[in-house]
Amino acid sequence: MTSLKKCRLPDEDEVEVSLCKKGDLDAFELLVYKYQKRMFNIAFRITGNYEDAVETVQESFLSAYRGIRKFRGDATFLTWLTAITVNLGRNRLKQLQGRRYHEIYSLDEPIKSAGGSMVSDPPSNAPSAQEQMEQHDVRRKVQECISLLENDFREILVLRDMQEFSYEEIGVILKLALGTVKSRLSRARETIRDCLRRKLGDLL
Amino acid sequence: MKHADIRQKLSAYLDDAVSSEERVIIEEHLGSCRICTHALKDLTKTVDHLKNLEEFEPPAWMARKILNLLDEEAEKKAGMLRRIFFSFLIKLPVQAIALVLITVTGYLLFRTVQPQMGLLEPPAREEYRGRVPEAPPPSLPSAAPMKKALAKEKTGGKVHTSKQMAQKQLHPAREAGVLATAQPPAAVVDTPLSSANKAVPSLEHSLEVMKKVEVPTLPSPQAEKSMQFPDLTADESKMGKRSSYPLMSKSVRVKPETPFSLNLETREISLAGREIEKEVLRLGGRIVSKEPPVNATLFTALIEGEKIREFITRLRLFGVITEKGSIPDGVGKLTEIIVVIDKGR
Repeated sequence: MTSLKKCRLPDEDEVEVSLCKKGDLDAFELLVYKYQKRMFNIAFRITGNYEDAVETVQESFLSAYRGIRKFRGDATFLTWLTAITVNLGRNRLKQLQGRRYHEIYSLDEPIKSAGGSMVSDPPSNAPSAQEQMEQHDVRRKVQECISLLENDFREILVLRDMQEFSYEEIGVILKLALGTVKSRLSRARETIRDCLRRKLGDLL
Repeated sequence: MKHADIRQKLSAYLDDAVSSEERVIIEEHLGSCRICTHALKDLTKTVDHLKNLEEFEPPAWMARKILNLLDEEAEKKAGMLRRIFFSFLIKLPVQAIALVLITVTGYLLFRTVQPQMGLLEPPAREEYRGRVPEAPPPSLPSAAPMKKALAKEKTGGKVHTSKQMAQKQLHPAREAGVLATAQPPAAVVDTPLSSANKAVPSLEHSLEVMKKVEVPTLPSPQAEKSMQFPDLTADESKMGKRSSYPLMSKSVRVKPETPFSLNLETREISLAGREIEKEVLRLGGRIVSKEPPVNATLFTALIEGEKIREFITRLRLFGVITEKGSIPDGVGKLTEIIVVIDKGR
């Protein structure tokens, strides 16, 4: 962890961040459009709810702009913003769990939102209708397994296997040592593997 | 490395996050352990399932909403700053205008008060007092009226030239009247200047008035100041005319009365002149000045009053004597007489 902080990663958003520190809202707008989708998917996988993900992302960007002067550049802006999003998503999830109401995200039905149905962005190599149905079913079960994970395991799986952050970046985002990242990720994968075995019978 | 340790490192091995030594050990173990090989295959499929999850597009309005919220927040912040500094925005011009007004008023006051402050300058007072002993002798009766008249004239804000002073010398009574009108009320009460103010019939009367004015018991400090510093008026101090007193003392030497003069008509002007000088010295007098105008010589001499008649008698030896004015009768005092020697007609 200590070695991660000393290792300063190059930040491709350094110019925009410096402008934001001077109050340039246009520069921040660029960052919003650049990272809104990524932050939304992180929040959605953590919270498992569309509206909560939207609100989480909004709060995340607002918090980032308010605290941009506190950003010292020890990490990249992306890791800093991701850490904010993960923390806010975690807090929102705790609120949801406290209300005893947390519906598991269902991939069978389109997610309703204020702006209409949620638009999915499936991977390329468009499969046939049968294959789409099968993939759809697998994804739903994968999401169920994700939702059943502990928060720590869920977060680290989202960051590594879905958003493909490096171990070092995950350490910065979750404030974990590199060894902890490895071991936690290993246990999270084994846990979801066991879940998928139960859900899918075979990992296909 | 045991089997359990190998299985814990399969996740990192999958991400190529192990050292080269660990990689060698793990690969050797995977070659001989079917369970670990199967576990690695399941782990790879699990990760693939996670990576194959679709990504969702956020709502199109989300970014705009974020930016609108930031805009509103910035405006609110600016509004708070405006509210905080609004009073300053109003007060600043008022303070600036007040400062300008105070500066202008102060400057005008300074312009107004500055000449009066000049009256209180110690050097001016000392200058005047230092010259008091040089005042004309009491034998010149015209000095006092001149001095007082000059003081009052200047108090009234007028500046007189030496020519005007000479004119005043010819009209002392009128100047005495001016003085009476210019006296402060307190001084007027103590002295019967009201009669002098109405009409001044003669020189003697005006001199009496002036003597009364010189009474040092002036009740008013303002009058006292005017008496002590007659020439220190505002105009003079401003214009640097501190030399008014020497001007006055010089004019005092010019007598208001026409001095007694003798006119000697003779054809030997130079010879008669030398003889006159001898006679003056013999009678104990002295020649004050000698001026040789064209075809004439003018002597100004000081002779004791009782010897003037003897002097006239001796001059008759040189020519025809014509007397102008009455013979002064000062006993034991040097009296100024003027002797003009000319060729006659």
